[in-house]
Amino acid sequence: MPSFLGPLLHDLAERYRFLDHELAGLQLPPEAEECRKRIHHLVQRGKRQIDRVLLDPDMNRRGFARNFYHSYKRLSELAQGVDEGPLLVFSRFRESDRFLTRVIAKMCRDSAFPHEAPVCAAMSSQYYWTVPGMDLVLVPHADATHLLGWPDLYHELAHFLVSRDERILLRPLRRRLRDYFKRAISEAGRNGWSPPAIADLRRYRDLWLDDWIVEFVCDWFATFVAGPSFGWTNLRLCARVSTDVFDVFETHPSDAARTLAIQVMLESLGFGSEASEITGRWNEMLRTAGASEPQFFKAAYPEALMRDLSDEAGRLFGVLGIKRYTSSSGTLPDLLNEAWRRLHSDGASFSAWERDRLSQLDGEL
Amino acid sequence: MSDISALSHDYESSAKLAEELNEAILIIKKARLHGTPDLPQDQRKKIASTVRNIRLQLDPEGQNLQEEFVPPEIASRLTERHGQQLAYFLEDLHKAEVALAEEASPLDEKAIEVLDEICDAADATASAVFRRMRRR
Repeated sequence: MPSFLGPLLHDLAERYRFLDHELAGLQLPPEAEECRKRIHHLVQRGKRQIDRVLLDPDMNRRGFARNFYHSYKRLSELAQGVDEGPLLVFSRFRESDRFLTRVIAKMCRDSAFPHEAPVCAAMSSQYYWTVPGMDLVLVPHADATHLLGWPDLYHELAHFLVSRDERILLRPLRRRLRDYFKRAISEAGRNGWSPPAIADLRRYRDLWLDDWIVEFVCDWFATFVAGPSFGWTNLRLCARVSTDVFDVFETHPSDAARTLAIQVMLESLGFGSEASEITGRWNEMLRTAGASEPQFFKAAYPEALMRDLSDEAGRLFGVLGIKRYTSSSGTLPDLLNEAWRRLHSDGASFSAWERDRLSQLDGEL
Repeated sequence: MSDISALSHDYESSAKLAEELNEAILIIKKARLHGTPDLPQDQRKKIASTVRNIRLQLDPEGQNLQEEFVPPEIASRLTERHGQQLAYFLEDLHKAEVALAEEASPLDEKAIEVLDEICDAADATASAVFRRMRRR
């Protein structure tokens, strides 16, 4: 056994014993119990893997050391992920988390979401985020008692979808992206674009193929299921935190591009007038902030490509059996759209209405 | 909405690839050393397809033929490592892919070395993303 790895494996085995013991001893409400069982199962499997590695007669062989080291790293990451994610949440699980977990379960039922509902907890310091492998969604503390951010829960749910149905969802979309950029790059060459401009196109293609397509699919899913409410929540988030809505980030497309993506999905779902209303407010925000579209924007986010991908994404959600938003009463998307209408029509009385609806919802779920 | 969701997705993709390859390499090495059962056919085909997709991603002419997406950070680590010698590495990848695709063909040292190298790149990517999720 390589001298540095042996003791570390014993230390990790102890860490797994601790996680196993903690997870076995937790008393959780039924909403979180299934998730606890799944995570506990993952931990027990990890524990067995370490035991196997510790007993492996080839551990001392030189040609195997690096592979056992890789196994150690993955198992370490899993232990840390469980400790910092689900175990932290489960050990502090409160009534507000229980309520949010019921909310997200209803969202899954309403939209015929094809996977188990995750646990949702109001203890995030990073807005909304998800760890798909741990069945966990985290939201800010205040969002357990405020409705207007909830459409973002659909975006987070979609991260589970792209992680578990990657072949159904991402493969056909990536194929379209490759075809589009292949044509665009060859056309740019024929039209005498400069080498740096063509290099930029290649860079946009790579960013699209990597993280951007994932974020766009999540936005399209949220729009598909929650309708215009997601467009309003996106506008609110951009108004709150954007420094430059046209900025290009590696992990996320620019806020302006995401707003365009939501708009094209809303239009294709038949919510053209709501899309125009949101775009109108968006443009007003841009004027207020003094932001204007940079030259590269249309090359990085061509509208024709957005429309093609958005249509295809909608078709693929249908293939997965997901229900698109229609204004039918009794569903959460309906409540969220009503919330945004109320805020716009009578902002002053909104919070009283919201408290009332949340209390009613708590009784219903 | 926050970067963590995107990074979680990146982590899962590279960690899954690293784990699949590592598990396969351990089976192959043990089979060569002890004569224990070799990699099952379905797993062998899957690894052949992974090698093919990596080769196509590294080859500027092949990118449009890719069937499965390979996290680009894995590809860039391999490209950086081989620099001017990339054409030779592409050839090694192709040979490993052919050997894996042929049911009865035993894998030679070179093919295992190629698999180990891809596994190193996937491992380094998974570790880097995992760290990025926590120390930004």
